[in-house]
Amino acid sequence: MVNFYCPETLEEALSVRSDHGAVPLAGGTDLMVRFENWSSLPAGIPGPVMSVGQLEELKYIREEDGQLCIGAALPLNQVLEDQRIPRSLAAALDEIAAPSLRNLATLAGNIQNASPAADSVPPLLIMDARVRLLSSAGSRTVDMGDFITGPGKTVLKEDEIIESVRIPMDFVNKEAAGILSYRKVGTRKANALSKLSVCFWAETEKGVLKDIRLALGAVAATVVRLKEACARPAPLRRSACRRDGPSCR
Amino acid sequence: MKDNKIEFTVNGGKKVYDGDPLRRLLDVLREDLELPGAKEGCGEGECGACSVLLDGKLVNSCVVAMGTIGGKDVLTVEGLKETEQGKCIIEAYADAGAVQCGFCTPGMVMASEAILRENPEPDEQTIRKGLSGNLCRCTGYDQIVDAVKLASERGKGLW
Amino acid sequence: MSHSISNAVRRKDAVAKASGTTEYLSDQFLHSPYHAKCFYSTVSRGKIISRSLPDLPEDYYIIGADHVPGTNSLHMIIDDWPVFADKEVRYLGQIIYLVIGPDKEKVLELHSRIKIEYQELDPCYSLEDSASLLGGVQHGEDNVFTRYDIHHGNVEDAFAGTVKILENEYYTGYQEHVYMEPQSMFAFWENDSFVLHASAQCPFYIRKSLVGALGMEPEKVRIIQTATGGAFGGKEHFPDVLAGPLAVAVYHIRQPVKLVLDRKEDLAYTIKRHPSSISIRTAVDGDGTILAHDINLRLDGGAFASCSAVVLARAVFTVSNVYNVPNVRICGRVFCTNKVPSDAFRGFGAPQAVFAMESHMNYLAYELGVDPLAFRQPYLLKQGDATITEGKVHEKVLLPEMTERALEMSGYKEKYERYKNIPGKGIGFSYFLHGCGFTGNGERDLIKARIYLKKDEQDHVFIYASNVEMGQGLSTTFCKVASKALDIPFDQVDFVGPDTAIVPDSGPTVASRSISVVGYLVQKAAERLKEEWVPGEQQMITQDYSPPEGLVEWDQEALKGDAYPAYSWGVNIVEVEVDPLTCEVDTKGIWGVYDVGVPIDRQIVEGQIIGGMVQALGYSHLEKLENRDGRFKQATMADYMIPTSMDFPSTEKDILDNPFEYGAFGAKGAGEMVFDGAAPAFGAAVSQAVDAIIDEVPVLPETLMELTDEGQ
Repeated sequence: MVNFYCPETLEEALSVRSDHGAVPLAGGTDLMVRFENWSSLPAGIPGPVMSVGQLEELKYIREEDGQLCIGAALPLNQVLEDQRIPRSLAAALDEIAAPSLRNLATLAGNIQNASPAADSVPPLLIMDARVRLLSSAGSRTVDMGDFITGPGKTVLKEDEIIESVRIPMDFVNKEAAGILSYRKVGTRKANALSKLSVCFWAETEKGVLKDIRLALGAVAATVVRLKEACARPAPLRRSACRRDGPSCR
Repeated sequence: MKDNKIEFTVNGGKKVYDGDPLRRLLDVLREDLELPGAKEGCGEGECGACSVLLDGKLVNSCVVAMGTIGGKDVLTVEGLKETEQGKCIIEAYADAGAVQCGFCTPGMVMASEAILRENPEPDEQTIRKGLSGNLCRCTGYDQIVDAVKLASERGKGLW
Repeated sequence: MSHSISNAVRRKDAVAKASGTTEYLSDQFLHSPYHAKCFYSTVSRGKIISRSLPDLPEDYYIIGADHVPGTNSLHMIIDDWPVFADKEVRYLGQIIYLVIGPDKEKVLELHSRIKIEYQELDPCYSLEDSASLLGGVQHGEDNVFTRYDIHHGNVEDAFAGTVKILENEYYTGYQEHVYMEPQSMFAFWENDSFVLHASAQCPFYIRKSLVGALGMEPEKVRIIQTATGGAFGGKEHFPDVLAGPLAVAVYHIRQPVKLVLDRKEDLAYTIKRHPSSISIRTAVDGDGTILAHDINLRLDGGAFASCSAVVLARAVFTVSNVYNVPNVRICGRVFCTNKVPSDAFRGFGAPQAVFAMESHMNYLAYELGVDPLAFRQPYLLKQGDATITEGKVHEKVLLPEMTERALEMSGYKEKYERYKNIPGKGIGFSYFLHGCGFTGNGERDLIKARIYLKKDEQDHVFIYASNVEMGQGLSTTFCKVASKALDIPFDQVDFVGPDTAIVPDSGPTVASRSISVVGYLVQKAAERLKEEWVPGEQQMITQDYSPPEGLVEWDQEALKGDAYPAYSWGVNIVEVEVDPLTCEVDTKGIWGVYDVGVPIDRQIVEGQIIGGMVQALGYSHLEKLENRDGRFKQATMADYMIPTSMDFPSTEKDILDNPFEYGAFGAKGAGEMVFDGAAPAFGAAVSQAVDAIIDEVPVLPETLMELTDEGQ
């Protein structure tokens, strides 16, 4: 039996993390599946494990320092139901897996999993979101684009946990005024892994697109934001928009 | 805090668990508590046959580690079928022809309860979305959707 | 005309299943003293040169070929599939050992320490590999498990005088059953008998396959069917493959053992639908009339024969579909390859055949520049027409009425015209038929079905048959048939769960035969019981199968006569939209009109229609299953995608009345036919939407992208 910890406070969790290197386990939708064992045997997660879903300090959404902060242990459905989150993020979360898994899975889990097809990542990239990491020694905040370094790889250290994902209020406030398109291509219409996901947002000024933001999932080793492709303001043409794109607004 | 006993409730009754925290809720429900209504269809959170309500929310019990459910409330089909809401859904399933092989059905019934709790008068799209994590290989879903509509009509005021 | 028996009743099993109180195998045997884990081969083809097994602690066992008390083969149609691989392996996933013990963790540990060394041989992964005898012959002289040839009319003369020859080839892929309940069984030794509880379609098939392996009398081998969580053909013969090793193990250790496959094992190593490659050459005269078809039909049978011969027979007898073409030649073959064996799956060869012929009819219409629906009309089979096996269509054929109804429901004609000018939109049509019951002389000479009706002193009537309830509603429809014939309340009749120690052998639960063929026996028995009815007394009626009268005698050697006594018929229409950017196909409308004789419970038949339709639409474009080097690439249910509740709109359907004299209250088969027509209708719709010929399923966005790129 592996060592399993169920800390009651964030502080306690951080010391378990630094003392034992315990793997944070929230909804289990990734780890419990990845380490699935023969039916009825405990999951084979190697090394110590720490439950974090019970930490109230990580289950919040609030505005702080000009950022909309989403606590790491909040299930996706709760994030999704919050009216304050950007529509681009909501569109992506709404198509992750199925309702029952979204009741367990967390945003932190989705990004720490660091799948090239992680659906929450394209919108987080285009909104210049940041990830706040905590350890007993202190905290640091990393750009979303720097957090994931490869398939299944992030900069999270052995003694750190993800505390929150932080979205600039600047973007939250102006998102509605821009053009947003989110599109996920899976094999079927629900409960499907992405074969491709596209998150696009731009401001328009006098018929010209500016501040164009575009990120693609499931096309490379990590989700990519295409900054060069968006560097030049472009005139807005109707045909650029798919005739009946579901989230073309 | 390590290896604490895990206290939780199942269908209203208090339970204490002190086994391996990485055992799945599904296995503990079935093997320890002998509540076999939740089924194992895939073991990877894809099919929904193991659906239960955890603190009122639909979850796949095959991905829930026992170590994570301290203090939580579990409702299985064995508990739901004793309630007015449960009876209403089950009767609707029987009348709408929503049951074929039946292996997915307890999970479907739990998903239906979750849908109706959230929205007592769901439209077809809401129902289809609410059932989208519960796979059925027999029915093609139409009659299951009909059953949820029927339960919603018959059970006005229950949710 | 509507029949009172068609009125829906509440299914006998519905409330218990929805309440979670129905016990499936894993529920009935929640706890088991012993657990078994299969040890599978890891190469596709090779000789086993050495085996290294761990030392076994007390109470742990590794059971293999050396333990087989009888012959190391499972008797299906032939005996080629060994209980355990012995000197050679023929596919990746073949069972070499069963590891057994009380503690699962320990079983896994022992399992991980088994080492097998192989001398690998060149495996055959394709029909071409097999035909060229790559790596040496594996079956017979030519790697062909079974070959059936049909010569109807005179194809050579027809081709000699022809104006135009049009030829195309059609492909269909693998499909996995994904019954929601994985393969499950539990076995023990009782007195001097072997007892097996299994989630299965055919308890007597399992018994037959075990008798030789165990070297025991049939009476000492008892098979009890448990509530079966879906089957679709996947629990027709495959339970034999697990029951064999399990029986050998229980024979030796005399302890109860549970064997339940995890989903990943089930996906990786259980049988699949046969992939097919069907090429059709058609001779056409100057007026665009079809003179002859010359058809080369090939199925990929995988490593062992299983029931491939019967699947091939149905494919061959169905491939000319609903059309009367005077000259048809068919060469049908099923090839041996080094992959997981292909086997029964709802439709049983017919979906592959119907897809090929319907797609070909569209291709011909396209090449001839005529409307595909109008083009078909002159060829539609009619009552009295000859079949390609020189049998006869005995029944009235309702295709014209069904066509009219389907067109009216779907608005097909108007949409078809309109979508000619709208890229990305399409609507497609298909005709299909499905022979009822076993092919050829099977019912008369092989199955010889028998049922009992027993009445107790409380005048409650029980139906004893070996056909199982697996979701299709048989426990309800059988009781409806009996209660109607007896004129007693539905609740006064019950269906006894199949148990080979108790029920007579009324044959397997396959071939859409249960309600039509066996249900007819139930009706006849009930009619006799009604005549002989004595209140308050125990009574029993035995009813044996007798073939319908007036059939054209079947000659299995010549493949001539009535291949089936009757047919179910269908018309499907599917409407789609293809995304111009991603080539994703969105199904916008689904319509189906069917002749199933008389539906024994309209709601149950509608459940079959919708379920079959959605399963077949999954087959048409979602359920990609690729075999690479003997291994299926789609390893989990996150990779192999069956339809969800979101993927398809509701199916609009209608059922026309056309009673069959020798079916229960006029019933013909329904369970499989409802699968046959969706893929070609879907293909036709996509074909219109992208303006290209669709000649394979599943239709993948990747393929459509290539097609549209080529088009540009």
